[in-house]
Amino acid sequence: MGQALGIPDSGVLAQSEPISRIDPNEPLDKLLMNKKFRQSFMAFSDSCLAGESVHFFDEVHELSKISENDCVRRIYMARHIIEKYIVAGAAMEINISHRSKQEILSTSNLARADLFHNALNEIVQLMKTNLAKDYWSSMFFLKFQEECDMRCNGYELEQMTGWNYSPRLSSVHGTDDPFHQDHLLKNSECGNDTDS
Amino acid sequence: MGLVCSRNRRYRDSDPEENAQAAEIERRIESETKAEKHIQKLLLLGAGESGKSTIFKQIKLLFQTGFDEAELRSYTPVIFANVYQTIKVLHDGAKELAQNDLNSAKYVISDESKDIGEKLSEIGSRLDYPHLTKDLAKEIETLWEDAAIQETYARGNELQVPDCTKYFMENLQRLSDANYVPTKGDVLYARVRTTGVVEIQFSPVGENKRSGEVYRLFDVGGQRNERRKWIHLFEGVTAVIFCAAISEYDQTLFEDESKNRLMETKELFEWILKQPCFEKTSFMLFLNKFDIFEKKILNVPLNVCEWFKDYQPVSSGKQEIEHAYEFVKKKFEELYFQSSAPDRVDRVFKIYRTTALDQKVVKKTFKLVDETLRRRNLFEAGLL
Repeated sequence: MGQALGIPDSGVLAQSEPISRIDPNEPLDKLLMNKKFRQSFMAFSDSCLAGESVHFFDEVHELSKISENDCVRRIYMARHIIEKYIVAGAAMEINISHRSKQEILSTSNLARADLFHNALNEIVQLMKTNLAKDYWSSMFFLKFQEECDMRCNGYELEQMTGWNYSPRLSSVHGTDDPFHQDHLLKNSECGNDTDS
Repeated sequence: MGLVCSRNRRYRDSDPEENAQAAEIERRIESETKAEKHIQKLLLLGAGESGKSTIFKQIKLLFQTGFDEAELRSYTPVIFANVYQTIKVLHDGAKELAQNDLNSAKYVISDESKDIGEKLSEIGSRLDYPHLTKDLAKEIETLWEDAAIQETYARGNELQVPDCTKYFMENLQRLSDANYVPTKGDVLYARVRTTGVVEIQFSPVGENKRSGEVYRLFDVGGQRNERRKWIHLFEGVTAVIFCAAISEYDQTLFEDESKNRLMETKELFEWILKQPCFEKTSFMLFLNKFDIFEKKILNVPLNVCEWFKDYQPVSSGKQEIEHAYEFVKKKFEELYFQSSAPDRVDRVFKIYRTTALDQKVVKKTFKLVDETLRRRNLFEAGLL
């Protein structure tokens, strides 16, 4: 969406950030400001079917880069985030409270700077209490640190393959996007969702 | 078959050393696949806050190495977060009730606690919570003891207050100790909303060291957005442990406050039972949070929940608790048989009364689950 809106420096792909080893004792929300770290944490979260939280964090971070004067862009981006992460049954619906969800859905001002504030707060807490600990003991983190060291020493990087050990899961390997499962839903009548 | 033929041809074309290597790899894959087949897959399913993760933690404590000090310590920020978030919910809830409720006066926070309340509410909305010092603990205690907060807590069923509230609020002094290390009990009470999937493998070796079964247990998030992920786990499941928090008959969902939690549980259980992949899967229904249920039932009538609207209390005290429990159990039994096609009614279905926080109960329950599953395996192998 960042690209679609022509937002420069849209996060995941750009690699111009200074590279340094990160300190796990720093608050997670601060660490997630580091693109490389965010990318690694996202890959880990995707691997244990909890990636939507990090993707949401990423996109809200992109939204925060749009100038407050640029209302049109802010509204388009906000709408995109709502459709993708907030509405019931959304493709990557996040795990937030009814209150935070209603607050967003009933707003009269989509350009508001604090539109996703409470939702983001809940999601950061969810990541902190649920995913962070397992990330620190996963191969994703080890590989991330190794990459940092190699970059500092000026080595070329290889793609991250075969390094997907996670302390959370051994035998479930969902696709990168855990939500692409329409065919499965249809085949097993799981589309008959309980959501109402 | 085609695969086997092509593999053989490949062996013939390459040199003997490579062939031996390839054969060794294949042998290993085969033996691993064989070993995998002996692992019994168990799924913990249920709506949000039904106790799945508490059962998961108990299994870790019972059949794995338990929690070492580092792991216990890793729960400190979680417990502090529970404390700060809860006191904020209660403070903000009291303010809302003081404005909107008909009987609003009793929700007005005393003048002495007002400033403390505002301060704690601000802390509760931060991304990073401070360490729980003695001073902060004292302030939280003062606010918790305020009559308006107690009145608000009495209406906790309307406010998404976690079950651990009273436990942590009554232990604030210990929690704020400079050398505080969470106890096993604290870890079990700590509330973490699970997202995604977590698994552990264990073998429930009892006193007689007889079982030898290897189980792989999966824990999942229970809120609606999490359920779409469950389907990745649905294949080859030996048993579903379905958790239903029977004490939540007067509460609404965290993710949708227009929906009663037991009504949601009913629909969810029905949906799970109808899954084609669970045709031969055993169902272990844990009617959980009995400890809260037995206290609540004497104050809040069961028929506030639409599903139990035909319930008639018969007596009081212990008898009434048993009567209400049996009523709920019967509702689930009826639902099971209504939602199971005739060819499925012979799958194993057992109901257990559980309190996931009680290690003895979980241990006993899991022993029964283990026995049932082993008997089922012997039966299927034609040995019974």
